[in-house]
Amino acid sequence: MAGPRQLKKDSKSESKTTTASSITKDFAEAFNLSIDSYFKQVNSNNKLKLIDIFAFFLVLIALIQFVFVCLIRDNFPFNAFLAGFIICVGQFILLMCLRMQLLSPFEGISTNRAFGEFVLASLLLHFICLHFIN
Amino acid sequence: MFVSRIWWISTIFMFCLNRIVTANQFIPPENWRNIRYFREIDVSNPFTGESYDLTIENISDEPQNQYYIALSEDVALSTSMITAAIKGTEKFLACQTVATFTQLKDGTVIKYALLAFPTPIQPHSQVSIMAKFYHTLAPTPYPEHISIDDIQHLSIKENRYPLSPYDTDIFSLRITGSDDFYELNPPKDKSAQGVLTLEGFKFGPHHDVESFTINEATIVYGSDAPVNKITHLNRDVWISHWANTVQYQEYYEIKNVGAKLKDGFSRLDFIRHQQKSPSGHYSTIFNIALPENSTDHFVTDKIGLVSTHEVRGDTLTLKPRFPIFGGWGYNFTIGWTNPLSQVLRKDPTDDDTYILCITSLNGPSSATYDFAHVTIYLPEGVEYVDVGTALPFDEATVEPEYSFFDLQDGHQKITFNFKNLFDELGKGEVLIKYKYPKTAMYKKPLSIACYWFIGLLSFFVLKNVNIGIY
Amino acid sequence: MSTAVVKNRESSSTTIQWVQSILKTAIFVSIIFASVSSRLFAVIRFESIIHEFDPWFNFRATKYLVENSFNDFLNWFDDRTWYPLGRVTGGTLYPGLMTTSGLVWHIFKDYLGLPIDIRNICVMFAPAFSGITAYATYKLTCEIKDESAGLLAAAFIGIVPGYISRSVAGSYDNEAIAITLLMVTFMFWIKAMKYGSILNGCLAALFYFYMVSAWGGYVFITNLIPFHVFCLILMGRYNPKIYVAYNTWFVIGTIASMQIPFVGFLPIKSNDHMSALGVFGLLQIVALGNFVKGKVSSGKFKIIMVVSMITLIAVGVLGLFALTYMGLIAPWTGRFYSLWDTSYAKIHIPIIASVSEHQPVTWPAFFFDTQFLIWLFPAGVLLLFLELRDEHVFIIAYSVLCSYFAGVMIRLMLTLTPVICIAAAVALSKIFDIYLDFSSIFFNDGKDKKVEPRKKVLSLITKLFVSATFIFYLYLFVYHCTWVTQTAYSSPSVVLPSQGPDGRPALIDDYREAYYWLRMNTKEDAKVAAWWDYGYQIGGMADRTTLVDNNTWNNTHIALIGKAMASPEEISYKVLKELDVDYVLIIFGGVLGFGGDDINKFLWMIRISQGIWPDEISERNFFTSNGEYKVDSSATETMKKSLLYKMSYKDFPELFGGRGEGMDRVRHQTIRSEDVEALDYFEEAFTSENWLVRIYKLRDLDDEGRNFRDVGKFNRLSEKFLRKRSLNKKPAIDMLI
Repeated sequence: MAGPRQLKKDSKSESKTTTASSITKDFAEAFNLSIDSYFKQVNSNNKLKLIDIFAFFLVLIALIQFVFVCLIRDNFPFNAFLAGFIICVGQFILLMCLRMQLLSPFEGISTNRAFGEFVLASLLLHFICLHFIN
Repeated sequence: MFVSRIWWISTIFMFCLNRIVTANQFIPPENWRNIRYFREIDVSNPFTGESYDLTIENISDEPQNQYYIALSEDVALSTSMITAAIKGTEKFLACQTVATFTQLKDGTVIKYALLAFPTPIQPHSQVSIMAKFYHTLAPTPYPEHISIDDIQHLSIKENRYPLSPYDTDIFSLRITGSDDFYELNPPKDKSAQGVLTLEGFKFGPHHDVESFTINEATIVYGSDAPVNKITHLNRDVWISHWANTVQYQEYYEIKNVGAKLKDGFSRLDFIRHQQKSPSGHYSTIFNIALPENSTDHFVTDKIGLVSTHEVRGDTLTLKPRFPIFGGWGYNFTIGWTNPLSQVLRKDPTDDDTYILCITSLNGPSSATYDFAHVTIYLPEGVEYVDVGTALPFDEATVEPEYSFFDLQDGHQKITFNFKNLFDELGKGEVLIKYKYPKTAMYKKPLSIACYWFIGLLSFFVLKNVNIGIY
Repeated sequence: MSTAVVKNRESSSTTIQWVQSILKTAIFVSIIFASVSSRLFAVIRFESIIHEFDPWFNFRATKYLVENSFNDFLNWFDDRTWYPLGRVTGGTLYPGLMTTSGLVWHIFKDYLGLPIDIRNICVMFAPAFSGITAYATYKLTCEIKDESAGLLAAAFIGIVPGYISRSVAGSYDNEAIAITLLMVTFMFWIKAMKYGSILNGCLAALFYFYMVSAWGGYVFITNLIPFHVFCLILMGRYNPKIYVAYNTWFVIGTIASMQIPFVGFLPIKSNDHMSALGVFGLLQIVALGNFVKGKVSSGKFKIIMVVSMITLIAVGVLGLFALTYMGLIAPWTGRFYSLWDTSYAKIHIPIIASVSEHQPVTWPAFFFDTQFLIWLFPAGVLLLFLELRDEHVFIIAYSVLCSYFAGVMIRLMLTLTPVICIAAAVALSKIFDIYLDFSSIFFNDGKDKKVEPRKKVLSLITKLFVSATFIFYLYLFVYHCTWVTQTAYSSPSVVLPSQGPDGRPALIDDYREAYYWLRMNTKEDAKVAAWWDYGYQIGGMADRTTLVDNNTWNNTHIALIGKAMASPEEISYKVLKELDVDYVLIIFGGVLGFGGDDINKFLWMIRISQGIWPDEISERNFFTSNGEYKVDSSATETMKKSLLYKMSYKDFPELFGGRGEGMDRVRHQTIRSEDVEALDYFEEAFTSENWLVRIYKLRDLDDEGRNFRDVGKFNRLSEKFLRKRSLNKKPAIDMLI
């Protein structure tokens, strides 16, 4: 919790000069801060780590598919590509949803229930995508 | 005569040849001689009724009991009924059409009806028989296209000589049923021509005619009534012991095979014609005689209710959606309900056995039927014992049919297929004997109740199962 | 002692709960009963029959589905419509409706032992689903306000004419199921975004998929939900629950919607769907921003946000334009444009404008369709504004968007009706909450003993007065709904009610008469040309091949029929022969006084074909020099020579006796027999009893290769000659007729 306090001081001293350079500086600082707190968050919770690795992996697959389609310059079984791509995006999104619920459970929905719902939704997504691939 | 002899010999020769090729070429043995062969045809109905007044002699040396009446092929195919009795007695002959046929040299196919005497006729003795023969072969309109104001003329083709596998001494043919007859393309020979008399259109008398003498005449007669042919009838009869009703549902496919309209249908001409005379060579209404005390009538066709029907007493008057001119067709479904007690009797010997008695037809008057399928649906759990019909049927089948709330074996469905019927034959009844034990009767509501109970119970159980994850 | 009291209270509260649930069930049973039974007017007064035009196609498709397998249905190529083009029906319809009724039919037949006729299932489909709609609306309104509002809303939606108009028994149309699905989807959406549940999001997506499979109006959901989320973000109400709900819905819903063959890749290509994609992207950014926001100070965050927002919007808009330009994204369709600019269709696409459902709503229609709900509706919206929870924003967005759309197109009144019911129910239940609460008068809890009796009486009177007024309004509403339903919305339009000569109610059944004649007495593969309105009915009832139908996808083909109707016989004959037509069917109301006939639709035919052949067909030529649309003796030559005119009035003047003059009872003009030229290329094949439907046959080519015009002239001349001779002989013969 030391981060934000430090930040406040910094922002006060620099608030007068809001030029282009300071904006990039702000960006960099905010970026660093977020990265730091993110790693802190992840390292403290193994579940989150797992989720994020999975998510990263999904992004990677999606990128590979996209690049592949760009390279061969043909998207002939367009539905197959779309299914492959969307399943990555969809699974990523569902992971993010689960992650949010794990971090701060919503009232009325316990983390276990959230996980159950996540599994259900993933199954549904996979079923539809499989159907879409043909 | 000589020529016909040669022809006859050649026929036999051909017959011999054919016998090798087709095994069913058949010529009735020449055991008989027609002493007197009077034939009368009545064309006043859509079906054709023929009566034969025959005196025949057994010319063979053995007692004979089989006599063949020859029929032209298309007539034989549309035979509906044939009865015969020895004149002046109550002795009936067993009559049936047979599958065997004779093909003459010119390609004409002759088929036969076989009359079997109850006792064989001794050699060289004579016997007189009266035969009634009905067929549903529709006459062809002549000319084929007429205008709405014209009188319709129909034509039939008949042999002006006796069509018989036996030689005939004296023959005459009379056609009745109209007052306007003439022959199309009459032969030059005056004696062969038909003559219009007060008693109808007469051919003959001709003397000493060889067997298989064929000389076809086309007879045209005026008949300004529609020629209604029911090409298909599905008559479903549902028996319900619980509701104590018998429900009829009949599907008709009807066609007017009379003369067609010359220049299409003009509504204006039709209105004018209707103002002049309400009837013509088209049908605007059908009258259907229903059993007594029928209720819940309905008339539909494939696109919904036909609101133009009326029930007066025991007659259902149906006005089809459009007038049915020659060449036009229509189909409709009618239905009604009667109390079960009208058609069902309990077997006095067995408490669980019932005898059902249904009339074969209830259709519109003056119409012929090509195919009629009469189906009786017995309740679920019935065991059928026996059937009997007044009319000969082609085929009868027993199958299960799953209807409303039939969750076990379904209704017992008994179908009779009839061919070539006409309205007057419809009074002939269909009898069915079946067993319906009390246990089977109560089994059905109990099983339905069980299913309900199981359904509700499972709903209740499922509702109480907690699938939430907390 | 105290535990006993608690127990007592518990037991009393459980009994109250029991009573409540029994009451609720009873109320629901009666609501469903009311909503189903009020839709049965059509069945009771007429019969169990499919209504109007589109339902006939749906019915035909359902029959096809029931008779063939589901796969056959999806791959159905229909060569009996749009002759000679045919229609890839399986790929160009929304299969939801047919699949559902097919499934219901199978369940009833195979599992419940109830082999119900598929027609009856189709007829009773809409009423049955209206019951489900009532339940879904109840659930939705419960989330918005409370149970009492929910029950009111359910009761309203059950009987409100605006919804009944598309869901009476027999009105077997996509809308019948679509409104149900709309409400269910919205209900799950509200639940999902309220509680942030993935499960509810999935369910919303599934029902969205169902909706996509059932109705083209699914685009409304596709835009409304993102709009709701967008509003919430703008209001600064972003929270992770919205993220979870929206993303689950969007991802699963989008990929699921692509499974429908007719929709295909539209969700990523068409502009109609872009807002959903945009909001999806935006949400990711907002979520990221929110994460960053938690870490960075607010001042800096503002700067970062503004800068990144500007760049993002710029990139997004540019990208959208670029993609549209490159043709990767389909441009907006004509129907979409006509949503924004009401006169767009009139100018550019006459075929869209010619559909009466696409006309703007008149003001009385709002009152007619919703009665007192229409003025409770703004009150309800205002009440929601006062509280303004997240889900209230949804209802407000819904009501604003839909009010506009309903004003543009009359058929969108249907989507507005549910929100009117919800908002009105909120308002009314609020009123009842206050004015039906007599507890402060009868039970004094000891808090306000000082209240004077006079005040008490006064408040009692006001309460009684207000609640009595509203109960009276409710009574009026029920009365109005029943009246509207039975007078305006319960006619199958296939059968017309009338009175017989003896004053008894009779039916005019000319459509079915003529269609059935076609079905029974023409060749199985006969082609029937008729204006597109009757295409589905001919396909469904007459079972014959049609050239154009209500699925107006090919304007040229329709224009071709218009041209044939508007041209002189020779040209029409050539056009129709090229299309291999056997029969031409027209609707003529002149004898009966039926206004919706082809002569009255003639202008649309002319306009549509003029759009394609401006040098052959000109609308101007059909108007007299005074600019009047006339069919009597003052009609223009072009009008009198046109095929439709000749077909409509053939034999008509002679119908009224020998004077040769007939009064057209629709246009109130006198038609003289001199004005109606004879038809040479066509022959009357059938005319129904009241002349409503007339069918003409194209004559076959003449044996001697003569031109029909000459043949006709020759025949008329010889006929005249013969008649003259016969007149000379027996002068009175014609007078008798």
